Amino acid sequence: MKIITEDHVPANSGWGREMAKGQVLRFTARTIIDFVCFNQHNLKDRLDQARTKVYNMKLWISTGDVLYSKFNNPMMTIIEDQFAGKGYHDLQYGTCSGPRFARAKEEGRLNQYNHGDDIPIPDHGCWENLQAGLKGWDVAPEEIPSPLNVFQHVDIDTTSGDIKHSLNRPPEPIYVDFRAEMDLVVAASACPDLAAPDFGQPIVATIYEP
Amino acid sequence: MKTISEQVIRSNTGWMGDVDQGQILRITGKSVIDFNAFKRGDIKEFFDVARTRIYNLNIYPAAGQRLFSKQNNPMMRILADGFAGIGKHDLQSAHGCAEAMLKLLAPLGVTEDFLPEPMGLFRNLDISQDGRIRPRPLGPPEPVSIDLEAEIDLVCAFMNCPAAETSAAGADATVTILQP
Repeated sequence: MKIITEDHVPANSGWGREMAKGQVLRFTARTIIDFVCFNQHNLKDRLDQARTKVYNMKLWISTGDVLYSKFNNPMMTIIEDQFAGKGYHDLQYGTCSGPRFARAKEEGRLNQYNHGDDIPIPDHGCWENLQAGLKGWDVAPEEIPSPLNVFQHVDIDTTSGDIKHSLNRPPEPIYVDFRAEMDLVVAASACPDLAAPDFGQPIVATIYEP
Repeated sequence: MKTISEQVIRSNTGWMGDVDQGQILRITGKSVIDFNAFKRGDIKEFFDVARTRIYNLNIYPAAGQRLFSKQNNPMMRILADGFAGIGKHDLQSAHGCAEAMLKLLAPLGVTEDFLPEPMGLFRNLDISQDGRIRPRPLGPPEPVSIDLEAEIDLVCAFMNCPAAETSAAGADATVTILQP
């Protein structure tokens, strides 16, 4: 494989790149990555959680599954998933954000993050990081779709519907590979991950020719 | 409680209207109804299914929950839900009748690329513990109501979908605005 770009993204920051159809994006991390993608030739055509779930007819996607766009186009295919069998990637969460942390604190709900009631909260999260990662492209904040949350294992009781923040993260960095099915703008946030045992971590984003 | 307005919405048609802060929007039906809400005067602040799921930490809408906007602000509160115990509303799917919804929302300036995902009232999905999704047609035997209290001034809209994935396709819906 021929590496086109390799970027080390610090914890709680954003990243964005263009990639061509046929190239592969590899995320290597042991932390949550909020990931979004856009059709490079029509930025309004972007990742869509709902269509991705309904096309694949499941809540959780892995190797062989396809990410779909708002205009019903296949965007990327997961070709390798080292988290498979250990945890799921999430398609329920929006993005964390400064306002969301502030509301959780105000409402006394910080304990949802597994570290008690009184943890320091960052002034920004994935919502702001994705805006920063997408700075070079014409995407308004409200047009940033709800992401695929890579390595965000979530416990869902599908009978009651209850969602629990989970402590399940990769113990060591592992990777997931996504093949581009169209020319794309890809963007990601290294999540501050307040629910993880040791909070957010840096991530590596590699784009390569297979 | 005072009824401000009441209207019957035939199958494959929709409704859009203002709901003021404090008023209650009652939607009564038995087939799939795709629902959206926008902050009045600023459609960029719209009801967001992901924020709503995570604020409530539940994937199924139910009484006691709140609907949240993309900007993380509360928009509505679910006061009562007559579908509870019969089936589950849906926060996973895209619109079942997007073209008609877009016609309805055109006066607001909502275009295809902007149309937010709906709350699918009465769209009962079987979701197994391994995450498999299967539509399970399940209309309530009689029309039931969901009551949504506006926490800010809103424009709300819904389509009464002629959805194939419901056993009650073609049923009328009723929209009522109540002032407590």
